[in-house]
Amino acid sequence: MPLVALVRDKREFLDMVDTTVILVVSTTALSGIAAGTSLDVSIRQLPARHRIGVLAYSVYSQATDLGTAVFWYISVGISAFLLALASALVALLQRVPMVHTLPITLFASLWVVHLVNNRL
Amino acid sequence: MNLMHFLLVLAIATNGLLAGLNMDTGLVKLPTRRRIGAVAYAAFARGNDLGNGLVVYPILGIGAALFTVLATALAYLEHFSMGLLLPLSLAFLLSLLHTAATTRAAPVMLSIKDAPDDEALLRAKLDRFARWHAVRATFQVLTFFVLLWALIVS
Repeated sequence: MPLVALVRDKREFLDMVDTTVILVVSTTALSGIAAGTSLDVSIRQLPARHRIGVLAYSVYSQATDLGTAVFWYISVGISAFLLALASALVALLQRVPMVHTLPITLFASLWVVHLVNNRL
Repeated sequence: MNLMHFLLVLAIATNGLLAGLNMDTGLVKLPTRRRIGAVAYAAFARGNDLGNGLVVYPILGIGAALFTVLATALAYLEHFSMGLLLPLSLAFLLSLLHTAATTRAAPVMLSIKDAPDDEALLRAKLDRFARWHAVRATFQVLTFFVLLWALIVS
């Protein structure tokens, strides 16, 4: 194989890997924030209703629904979901080794389950 | 997985959760006080920040800072490359700044527990808490992103 072709192939390979890495890191960043947000709602906010009563909690909850909550939760959730899907798709298309493709695809699948669970 | 990767992954996981928790508080919870009033928000905060929050925030906050410090210390002890030392040192510095800002924010929230239901008094306290929370959340989210940079370099 000519040396020029080999170098070009190697550069293309590195570009492909870079794309996957960038997508995986971006997905990790957004998913970390989404997980922290969910954790906050589950183990700090919702249990507060037992301490302050359901009526007082309802006042707070309705006010957040009218505020930034809808925009924030939807934008973070949808963005992380789309990035996870893109990561899996790019990993599959670029034939990234199975040891990496498997967790990336599993991660994207869990985001699908998360979104379906939110709709139910 | 070597020890450096193990510590980095733990630091990223705890800092990621803390970043999401901080952003939710800053962008969703705290702005609600303007709609429902300081007294109603303080009632919620007594059940939330002063309820399970008294356990969750210290565990995540101390854990995130601890793993960041341990990863940075190991990088120096094992003479890792400057490419990795730079983001880890930056994450360590940001973690310290987050801790410093928390030492200003936390006493304000703790003082709400026994404060009387006075709208003006509680509004002043919550505004002060919101300012310090914005500072610590900024440092903390930056720590998370810098640690991701360290992971890529490593």
